[in-house]
Amino acid sequence: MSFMPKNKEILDKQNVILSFLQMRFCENYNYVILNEVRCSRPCVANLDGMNTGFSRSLCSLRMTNSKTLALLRMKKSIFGRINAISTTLLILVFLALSTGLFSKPRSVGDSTFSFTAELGLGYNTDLNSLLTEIQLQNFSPSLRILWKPDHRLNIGLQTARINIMDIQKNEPHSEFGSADIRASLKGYPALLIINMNLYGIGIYGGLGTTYVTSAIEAIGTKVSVNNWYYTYYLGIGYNYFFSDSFGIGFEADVYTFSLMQIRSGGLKLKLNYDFLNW
Amino acid sequence: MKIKLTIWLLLVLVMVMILDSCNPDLTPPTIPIDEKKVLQGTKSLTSEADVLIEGVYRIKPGGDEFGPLAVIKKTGDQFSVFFGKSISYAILYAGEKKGTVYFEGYWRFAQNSNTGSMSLTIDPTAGASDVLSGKKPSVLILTGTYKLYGVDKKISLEYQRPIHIDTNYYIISHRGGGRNIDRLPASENSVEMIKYSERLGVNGIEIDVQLTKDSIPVIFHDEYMNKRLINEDYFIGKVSDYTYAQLRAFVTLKNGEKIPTLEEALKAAMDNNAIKLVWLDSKYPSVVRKIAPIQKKFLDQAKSKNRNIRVLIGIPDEDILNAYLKIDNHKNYPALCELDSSLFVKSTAEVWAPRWSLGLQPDMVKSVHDQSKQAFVWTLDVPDFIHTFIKDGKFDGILTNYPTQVAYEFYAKE
Amino acid sequence: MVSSLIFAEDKPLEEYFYFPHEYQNWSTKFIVGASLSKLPTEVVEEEINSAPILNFYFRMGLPGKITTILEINTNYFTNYGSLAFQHSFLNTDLSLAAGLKFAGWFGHPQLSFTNVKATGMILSPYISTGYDFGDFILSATIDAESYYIYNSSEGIRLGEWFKPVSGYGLKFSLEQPLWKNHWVNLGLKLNFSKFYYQSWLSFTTIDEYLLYPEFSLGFVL
Repeated sequence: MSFMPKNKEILDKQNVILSFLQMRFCENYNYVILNEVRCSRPCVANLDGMNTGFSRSLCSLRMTNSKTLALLRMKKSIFGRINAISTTLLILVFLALSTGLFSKPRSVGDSTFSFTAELGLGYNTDLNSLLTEIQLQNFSPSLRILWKPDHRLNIGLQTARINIMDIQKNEPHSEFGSADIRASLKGYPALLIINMNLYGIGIYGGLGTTYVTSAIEAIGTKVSVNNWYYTYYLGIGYNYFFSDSFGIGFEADVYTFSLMQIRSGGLKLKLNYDFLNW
Repeated sequence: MKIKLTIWLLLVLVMVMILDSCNPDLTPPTIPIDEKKVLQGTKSLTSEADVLIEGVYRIKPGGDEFGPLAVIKKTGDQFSVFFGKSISYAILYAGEKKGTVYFEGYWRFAQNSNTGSMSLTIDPTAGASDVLSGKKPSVLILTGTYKLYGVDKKISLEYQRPIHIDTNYYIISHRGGGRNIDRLPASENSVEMIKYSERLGVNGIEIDVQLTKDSIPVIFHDEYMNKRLINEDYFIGKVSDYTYAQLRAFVTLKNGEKIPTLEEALKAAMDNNAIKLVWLDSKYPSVVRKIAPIQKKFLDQAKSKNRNIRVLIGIPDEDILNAYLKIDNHKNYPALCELDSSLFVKSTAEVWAPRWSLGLQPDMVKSVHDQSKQAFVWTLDVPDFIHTFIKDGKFDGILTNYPTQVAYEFYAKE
Repeated sequence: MVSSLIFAEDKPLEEYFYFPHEYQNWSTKFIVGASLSKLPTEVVEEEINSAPILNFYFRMGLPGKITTILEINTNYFTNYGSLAFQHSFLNTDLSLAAGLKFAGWFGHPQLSFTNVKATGMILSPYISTGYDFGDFILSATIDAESYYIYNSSEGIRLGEWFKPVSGYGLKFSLEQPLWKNHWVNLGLKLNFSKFYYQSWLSFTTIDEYLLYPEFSLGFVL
């Protein structure tokens, strides 16, 4: 087995540096990036032949010259062949293609911590009554703040203004004769969001509550009421950063408002901004 | 790589689909009730025959599903059979032809959606001749079949003893007859449910009263309107947020009924001869003042029709108690108090009704009886607990979502 | 030097917890976390819509590829403890284990409206599998449950019952570092059950398999 860093500096300082070492994977099949070392260019070690002799392809290194235990994870890259196109789910084909075309190392993770704001604008509709009710305008803005640590998992908060439904209809045979109703439901969710970017595709899961307002105008009376509902969120999308700080993305998502038994599905475009890095 | 991506996405998809199917399907089971095949061309039984058929029966084949004993009781136009296992029951219609008594209907498990047809007969030699001639038979055996998962199975019920009779005991169904999760053929707190409830063996009902924005008392349980109870998405406020006209024109209960007014519900109870008691669960203090005059009017009507029925205003908390005590001559408005002993005395209510989870409370129940008042317990659903409360408790009634189970335990009591 | 260090230790340091790969003998790991179960609205209605609970987990490697897992959950009203033993059959990136969990719980709310006490036992055989994707690990566990419950009020027996098959569970666990080398796990357990211990206060009598999803978050200590 050979382990030949191209950057000599790492070896020279290894006794100190390795106590903080975590190994990252780059796009190329046989390399790892030692990403706790802040170099202007990634520091690369050749791992030719390393995929033999281990019970698992995960291995670790215990440093004896420091009181700190350092975990050095080495693994044959699983990201080298990221040009795969998922053919199993039609809706994901474009996402998978995009991943192949635009993949960048940042989707894998890097050594920095950052906060990202994602401003979205999209269309939401009630999935239950999609085909049965007359839907009026339904555009929904959203804001998500994500803390992106130095690994895959990101956590954050999300809010939005969801036009859950906005309908009008007529009840021709009510006991009061023909009666019209115009009703709208709007939701303002406050969600804890967990995000993982896998193979270029961002998956977002959320749990929280939504402040829902209902406005009804029927039989000469307007009624506005509100309530809170447990809410689950699932989103799947793709983000592309065209500079260090700015990026765009799109996302398909579903909010489930529990007691209302409403699922609001949506598609949105996002403007992403890394507003804090360290 | 392709495989891993596919596995990951499929896992997410599976999880979403599973979560998406989170709400149980509450469609009432299709009941094989309308196809009266065996009963075609039969004559109705006499009331004497009805009484002779009532009893506690030992089940021979079929005990696997329904337990060792069954209670047969005439409930309105039909017979109800209350079994001792799995909160199961049957609703059977009866008729007589050429000296044989025929029963036809359906059975159900109350805790899930299992149901099927059932048909039984009493042959002339198995007691039908005596029953039809108004004589107490020496032997009375019902034999027949029931369908379980599409397979016909045999069942036989042999008369053992008369049912336990105590006309002062109340089997009170929750929300008119049961909750929506119980998948009865009508929605909870609907007029249709009140009409249906007699089949479940009840002689009392509990219904929940709230006020619309224009102060009309209507029957509805939850504080906020929601999809558990109604079909519409955009009515999410309290009943009191909407006018009566809005609710009636645009809101439907789960099985399509309209939200009933208190007056409609009381009329349905009055028309259902099985019901001897209506417990009005007041959901907040302002309800009490509105329902009291309706209660009075209804009781006056019942008296003029010589109809024996009690209507009680429920007092579940101190605020409602205070609202009740502010009614002029509140003692003229019969009430039921759920509060502790001192507040019960203060309320002057004629029934004390603690939550079942406070236990059998024998001393307090005795004290209530010493005041010539009654004690009910609510909302008791677990079969073991129902058994314990009927066997060891001294309460005068049980409010339950499973009145058929209370009926079984009560009527089978030796 | 680096090479020699790698060879000096070719077994992994276990940062994972739910991944069914074996632990080194006597190696231990703790997790503290919380979970939130969503109870079926149709059953619990407006009263107890969700059940939050605090979790504490302890895992220790034993000889013979056996691992023991201790779990303690509490939210005051309900208190739960379990002990499981599992044997890891496959110890590669794809790992596989089978185990048996025995749990005991009791509920004792000191509330004005109830003085019912409940005690229960749950026996769960389970199979667990997981895959190490490199910088995260995804595991899934399938279990079956049998339960016994005893209810009493003021020392009087109210009822007890036993169900040999009362439910099934499918739990997904995602384990990975959140920052630096601080690992977290995210869990989603789908309980298909006729009785779910965290909703015992609702005294559900529905004899059907209902879904009780349980979301959990834990920090590896």
